Amino acid sequence: MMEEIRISAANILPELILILGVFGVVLAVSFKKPESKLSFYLFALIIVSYFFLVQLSLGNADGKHFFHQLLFLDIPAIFIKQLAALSAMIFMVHARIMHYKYAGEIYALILFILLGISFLSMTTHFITMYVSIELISLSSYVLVASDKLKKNFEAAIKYLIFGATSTAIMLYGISLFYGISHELDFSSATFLDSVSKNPSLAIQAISFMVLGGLFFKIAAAPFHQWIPDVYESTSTPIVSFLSFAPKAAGFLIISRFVSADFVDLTGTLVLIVVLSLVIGNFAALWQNNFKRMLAYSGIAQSGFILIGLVGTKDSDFYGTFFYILAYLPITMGAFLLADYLSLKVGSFHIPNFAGLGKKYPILTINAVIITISLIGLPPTIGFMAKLVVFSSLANQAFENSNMLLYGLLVFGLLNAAIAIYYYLRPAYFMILKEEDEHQKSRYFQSITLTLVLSYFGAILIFFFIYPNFLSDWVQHVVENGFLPKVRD
Amino acid sequence: MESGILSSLIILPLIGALVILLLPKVYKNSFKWICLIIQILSLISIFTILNLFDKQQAGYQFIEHSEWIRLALGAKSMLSIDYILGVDGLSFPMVILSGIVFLIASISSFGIQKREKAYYSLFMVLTASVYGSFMAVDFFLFFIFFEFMLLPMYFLIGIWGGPNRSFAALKFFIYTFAGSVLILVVMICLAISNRDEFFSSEFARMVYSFDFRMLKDQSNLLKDSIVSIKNPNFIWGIPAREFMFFLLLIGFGIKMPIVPFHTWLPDAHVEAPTPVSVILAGVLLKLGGYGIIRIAYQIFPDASMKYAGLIGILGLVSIIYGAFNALNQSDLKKLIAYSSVSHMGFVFVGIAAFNAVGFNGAIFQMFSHGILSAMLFLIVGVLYNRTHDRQISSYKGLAKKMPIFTLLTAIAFFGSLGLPALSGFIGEFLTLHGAFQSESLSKFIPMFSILGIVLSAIYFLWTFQKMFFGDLQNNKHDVSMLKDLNKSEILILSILGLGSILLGIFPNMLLNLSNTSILDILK
Repeated sequence: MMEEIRISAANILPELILILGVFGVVLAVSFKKPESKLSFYLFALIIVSYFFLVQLSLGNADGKHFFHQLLFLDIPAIFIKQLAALSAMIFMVHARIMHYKYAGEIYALILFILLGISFLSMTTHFITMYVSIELISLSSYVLVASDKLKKNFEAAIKYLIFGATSTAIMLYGISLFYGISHELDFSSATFLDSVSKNPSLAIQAISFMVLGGLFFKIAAAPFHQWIPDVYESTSTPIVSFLSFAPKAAGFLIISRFVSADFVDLTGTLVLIVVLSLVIGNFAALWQNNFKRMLAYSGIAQSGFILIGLVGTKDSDFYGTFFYILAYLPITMGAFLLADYLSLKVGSFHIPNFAGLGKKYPILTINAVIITISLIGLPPTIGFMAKLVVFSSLANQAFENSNMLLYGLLVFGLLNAAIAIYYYLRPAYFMILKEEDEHQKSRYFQSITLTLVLSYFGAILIFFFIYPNFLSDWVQHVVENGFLPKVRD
Repeated sequence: MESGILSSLIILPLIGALVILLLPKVYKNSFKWICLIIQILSLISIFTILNLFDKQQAGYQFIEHSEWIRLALGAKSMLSIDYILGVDGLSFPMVILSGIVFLIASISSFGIQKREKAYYSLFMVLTASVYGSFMAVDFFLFFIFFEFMLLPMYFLIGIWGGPNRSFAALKFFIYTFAGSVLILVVMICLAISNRDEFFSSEFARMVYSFDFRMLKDQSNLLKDSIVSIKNPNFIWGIPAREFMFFLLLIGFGIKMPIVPFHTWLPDAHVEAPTPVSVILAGVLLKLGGYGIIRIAYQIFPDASMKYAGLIGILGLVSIIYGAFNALNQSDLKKLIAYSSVSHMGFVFVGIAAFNAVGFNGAIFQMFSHGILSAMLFLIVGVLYNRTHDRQISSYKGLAKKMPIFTLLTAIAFFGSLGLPALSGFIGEFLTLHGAFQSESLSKFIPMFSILGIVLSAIYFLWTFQKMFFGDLQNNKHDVSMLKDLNKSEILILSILGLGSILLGIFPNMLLNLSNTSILDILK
């Protein structure tokens, strides 16, 4: 027993570093003055070392089990952990260059979220999944409330209530699965065996319940109600981190669940995709607040990523993971853009962006690039991501001769066209409209901000022209499947 | 021949755009000269290619091929996209047309007063995209340039346009993007159905490629693929190949435009500034026709033969409907926009005819329509610059005050309606000749198209008489505002007019180019 713990602990060294980091940050906060930046630098150090330790943690093996099936480390898990670490680094850069003064506890909470993401991406066990989701959620609730304004409290309470409800539903589903199979690891042979003896409609319903908690985390309808309020009121670097990292982990575990393939989940997934696309796109059309619009567009983007999971026979979810990888610079760039624009005009109100095009040409060009990669137009990686996802859907539709999937293909593409209207609005106001004399915008040039934003724009275009690096990486990730191979 | 001359057509404008963006605003007077010089250089390259172009060879010439993307789609398959440029008898006339029209438009752009930096850089990006889409031999590359054209057009219409410009620009963008989305669906289905033999053995897995030359060769089709011929699949009851063909028809039909997908055109044209209208009518509409011949016909010849009758009817409806709408217009620019719809209908009829005469006629009509509609929009621009009024009823007796203008307008109007010795006649004659000879079209279609020619004569001559003859004093505007053409306007209009006359008298100059490739396509 102690042997097992000792050996397993060696494997989760990155997570141990995170835990030590939490302690370190809390100590720094307790014993230093509030203005001290020690917690920030400590946070930075922890994240960077975490990133590199994660890279090395698998060694030569294809996948390792430890802690008696509670955790399972393989290449997709490392991929998601690295992406989460990258997004935490971008969060740091964003907070730093826009001079956000965060209390030290924020960094500790982000470390907790990363810890939750690490465990969520490493598991096929229901209990670990539940505990990790709760870890991520509880830290997120506090993060949302951290600005201590009335709208933050309102958003945090909404988040809390929706989250608690979704996880309650998920727990109910898990308990039903346990009742059927007496087994909490959904990749084990006993589980698959006992589940397959039950009527498929019942299993589909229970899977929907279990997936409900996960859909809540990845911002898919109908579990999306918390997103607009949370995104609108929380401070932007935190939102930018929350808009990517928990989603990535959520998608990984949904992929694991779907690839276990004990029941045909195509119908459920198609329903969720259609709902997310419709609700996300049509609600975003009416938004005048940039962050709220990005929130609804995030719901639609989750719908697009889920399309890659539809249809499991021999499919390897390449499209989904490529889109997740592309989604990192796109969404974090979009929130950086939102913050930069709000600095120029004082609010997130889109019509106030009028006339910025003339004064700040480089900002405008970057805004256009980020906007068109959200839409999915060439020459950006947003287009490549959509192309790959829709190609895999077309492939699936053909191989299964499923008319529903053909319909989904055309529906998804038409939704991409509808989305143009609201994505183009900020660029439209910035370029095509003249500035209103009544509003005042502070005129200043910030080289750092422009440079970082241009860096995002350049990445989005560069990886369109040379996508081989990204495609090889994702290929390496999805090669071996998502479930443990050796069963005991 | 591995010269980079085709890539230079794309890269030179892009470099120009970069230079314009980087130069500080003080140099704004030089932006238009940079643009002009680049257009002249492009035209010189095009004429060089023209001289070296082998008219007897049917395939792509001046090919440039470099490896670009190898995207692994899972363990078993791979998507291979290459950067391939080439011109053949179908695309080269279009490239020549683009060269001429862009030069004319850049001279006409000298009148733009505000935000020249943004204008000229967008103009250069648009130039590069259009050249790229005509020269691309890889479907993916074609699609990228095709889509990417929409963004500069959106901004060009939206910033420098008329009062209702934002609505028109957005309508244009979303409408054409929806069309391109349908083309994207077909592109994806085609790609996963065709196996590239050469690369598959090299990479030991199934490689899907987008190369046009490979896509049209049906021996490359996988046996069980979506668009296979031997095992037809059905999507919602229609055979998959025909379904794809319809999607392509709709997608490119939106661009051409064909009734009933034409409603974006009058709005876009009326609100766009003159040079942008010239480019839109002169070049962008031809992309639709080019796309249909290149993609729909070469890749789905079975479906296109089967539905040739339908295409003919759609063409006929466009001709007649466009002409009737033009009859009804009081705004000169809208009238010319609807006459564009009508004349592109002739292209459709020529394509539907499915014989060499018809196809040659379609290409010729595209070229001549490009030149003539550029002329027509410039004419409207001349009047608009003077008086900011596009209503036909505001002008009377212009012939007395602006004789040179009258002459050039006469050439444009008579060319459009199909007077012999001008290029419009050859285009319409060839398409109708092909339609009459064709086995796949009923004889009624060309018969009723002739009605369209009569209608165009009606509206053009009527307009000409109303505006140019009559009493000069009945003009709504002060007569002194109606000065005759200045030098640059004379230059551009006469270049176009001369082109139209030349083509009308020596049509072989163009037909020689396209004939061999057309014959090859028809096989």
